Amino acid sequence: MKAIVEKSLFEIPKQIRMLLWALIGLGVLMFVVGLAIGDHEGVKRTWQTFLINVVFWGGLSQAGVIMAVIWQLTDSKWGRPFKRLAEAFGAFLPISFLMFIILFFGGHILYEWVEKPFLHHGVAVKAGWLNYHFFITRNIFWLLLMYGVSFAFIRLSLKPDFGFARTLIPGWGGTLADKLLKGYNNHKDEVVRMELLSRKVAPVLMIIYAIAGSFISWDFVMTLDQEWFSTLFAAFFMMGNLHAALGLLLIVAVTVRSKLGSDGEAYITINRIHDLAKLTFACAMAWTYLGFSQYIVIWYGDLSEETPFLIIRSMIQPWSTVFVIVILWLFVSVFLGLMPRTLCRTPNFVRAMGGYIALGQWFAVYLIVVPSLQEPGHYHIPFGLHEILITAGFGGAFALAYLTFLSKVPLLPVSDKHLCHSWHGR
Amino acid sequence: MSKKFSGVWGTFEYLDELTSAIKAVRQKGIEPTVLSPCPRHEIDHALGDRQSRLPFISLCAGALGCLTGYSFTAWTAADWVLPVGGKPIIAIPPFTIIGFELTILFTALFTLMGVVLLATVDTLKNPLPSSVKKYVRFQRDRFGIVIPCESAKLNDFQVLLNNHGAEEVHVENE
Repeated sequence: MKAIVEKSLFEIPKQIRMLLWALIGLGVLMFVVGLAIGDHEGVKRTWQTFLINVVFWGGLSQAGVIMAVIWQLTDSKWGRPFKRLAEAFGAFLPISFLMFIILFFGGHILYEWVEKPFLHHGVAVKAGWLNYHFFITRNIFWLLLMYGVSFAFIRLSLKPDFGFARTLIPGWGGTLADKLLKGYNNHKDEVVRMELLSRKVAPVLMIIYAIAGSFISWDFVMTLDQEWFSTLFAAFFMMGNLHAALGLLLIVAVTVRSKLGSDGEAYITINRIHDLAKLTFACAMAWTYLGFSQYIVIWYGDLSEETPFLIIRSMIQPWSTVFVIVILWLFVSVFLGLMPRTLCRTPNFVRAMGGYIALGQWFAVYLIVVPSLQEPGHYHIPFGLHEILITAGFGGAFALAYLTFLSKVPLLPVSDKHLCHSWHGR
Repeated sequence: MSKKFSGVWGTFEYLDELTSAIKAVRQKGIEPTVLSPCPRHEIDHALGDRQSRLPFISLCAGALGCLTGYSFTAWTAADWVLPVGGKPIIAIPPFTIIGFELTILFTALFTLMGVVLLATVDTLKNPLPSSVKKYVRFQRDRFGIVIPCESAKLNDFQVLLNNHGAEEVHVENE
């Protein structure tokens, strides 16, 4: 345990830090240039790429924290070594909040209902919900609530680990630990107290995630097409976030495992990597299941207010091609790729698969967002510098926040009673 | 039993002794038959985690079920055409449900049949002496290991099992 605590503090290599800052710089530059000198189409494209990334990376970071919550709620032993790695996704939440705030300035370009509300027999029936002030107010409320409770949860989980690390190595963790451990008494009592508190916070956060996450995905993504609605949409979208988060978690878990060497391998065993890969596989199935459940009901119902959303995406070129690619990418290839036992137990393959899944989920969000913003009859796939650079900027910001957080905390939840060696071999 | 069995079998009370005995026997180049009242991963590991053929049977059955689901619905829809609401006669979305269900049904049934088939083949390939079959504690609270070997090596394996803490060791030379 001591070895893990010792190895937990690391410096982000200078080249990587420079690279990430360069990516962020490029992203910001593209965003500013796109808004400043773009024509109407260019401005819209900048905002739409911004929106895709805000909901993708924000949802993904929240989903990471939710994975930790799930492991806490289910008292699972196998997921325990990944708990900190999942919580660290929360490091992006403050930035994500800021990005949501920036997004509000592009609302009048993205959301048709801001200026042209949906009319039913000449009456703006949806104006009660879809008006911009209420939109901003309620979403700030949801975000503050969800992110705030997430932070409380992460703090509760960090505190006893810092306390435990301090009992092993006095003075460990520097000023961050000093700040966090203010008022921290006897370690043995505090571990129990934090565990009990965490057990109260975890279900609350889970419920808040289900409600607030649904409202946020409805508001930000579903209302792009103000006429269309689907109750399942939020669950589908959030499952996509969880899937992407699990994909990134696979990358991180395998990397941390190799960095920690034999100390890490005692906890992050090949069996547990296999388990995480299996969960990712299951998540791909759940995502497809929710997507199909939505599709089939709309297909059968054949109602004029529901079908256009799917007709644009699955029957009209060029989006129908993207539609098929996304299904092949996120369902068929993941299903076949993560099924064989041997492949799931090959760390480098699992890591590559994680990145592949996260990228695929980005395209799934892209497919949900972009066609809604195009004029009927003028469908095309805008993919170029706007999309690549802004996404790279977000990716850089996420990675930098993630690594900065991870470099200052114990890599495994060292004080957790459920953190144990794996029993069934390696 | 028509075929004559020559070999040694022993019973074990403890799992760790059993697994070390399995490893020792396998080092001598003989694959033993192991009997256990309950499934234990440790036994699989000791036996070398051999790849079972069952997953491939399941996968093929699943693919067959999926194909059957789609083609059967397509055939019936084409055979008795019922146009509804301008929808295509051979439409993929509703057929997916049948395809999905038959995938699961075929996989489940063929996996079960595969278990029976593979177990039968395995039993025929590795015959057990009748005394082992009569020893009912293998279904209750004892592990067992059966080592088929030539009569020259009987003594070696008897000593080996005894050294690994076997409770009872029987030599069969019918």
